[in-house]
Amino acid sequence: QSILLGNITKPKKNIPEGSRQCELLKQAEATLGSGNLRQAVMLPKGEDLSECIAVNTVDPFNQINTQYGTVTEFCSEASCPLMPARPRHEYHWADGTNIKKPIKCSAPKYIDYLMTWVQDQLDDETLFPSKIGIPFPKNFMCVSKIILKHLFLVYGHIYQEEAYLNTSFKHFIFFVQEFNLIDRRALTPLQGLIEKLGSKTDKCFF
Amino acid sequence: NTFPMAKLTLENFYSNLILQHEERETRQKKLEVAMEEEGLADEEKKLRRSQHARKETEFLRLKRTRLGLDDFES
Repeated sequence: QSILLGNITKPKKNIPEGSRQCELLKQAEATLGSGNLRQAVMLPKGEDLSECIAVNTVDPFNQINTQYGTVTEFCSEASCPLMPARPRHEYHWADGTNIKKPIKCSAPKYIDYLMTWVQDQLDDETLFPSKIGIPFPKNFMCVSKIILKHLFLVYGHIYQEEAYLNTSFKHFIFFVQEFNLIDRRALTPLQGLIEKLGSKTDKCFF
Repeated sequence: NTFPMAKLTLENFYSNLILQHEERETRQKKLEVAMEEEGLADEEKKLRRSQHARKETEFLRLKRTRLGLDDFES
């Protein structure tokens, strides 16, 4: 069982070798192989670092946004009354502007606040300019690191239920590792899974 | 099969991602070959590379930004 999720969600199912599900996963792994994905996150020759970080921050946000809806049946007010964290820790929401005093809330509520906050940052033209030629602000790296750390929390809460989310999570992890965007310490709750995703021999990666 | 739409979206996303990555590398190689054939000087090559990189960056930015109300004429 995951440290991050405790006993709140269903335990991970074992997928027997040779089963149809395992075959499908192997197929998925073949098309979305680690090699390609590792290369896909590297900074292309001559590319602007901030532009590369920006597109790789917006993509996982969009992916979580479209997929979080599919997991709401097992992440509800009743099943996840608190946003779980490390043992004896829980997350309380505060964004520093609208909500200054951290509030205790359920995981779906927390994720809702979090995603709304990230959306506001992505929509902010001064942070993520959309017009051609307008430069990124000086604090761009700092802001995107905070956003990515938040998105990591959501992955941590929802990854294990949906096989295909693992590819999304894997892509995310390769990306933050490539550019050193999330502190090693912050990644520790999911260290086991991250190591599994990174190893090439592990075909059936969940 | 419980979440066919989410799966489809992700599958499309990742096949596109890998494809776009390969296409980008091909464009870079083509540029190098073309410059070699034209027998350009190093300074000229540098300029062409930076022009090429700027176009790629603009493409990334367009890809990132979604359509908004302002993109339509009323």
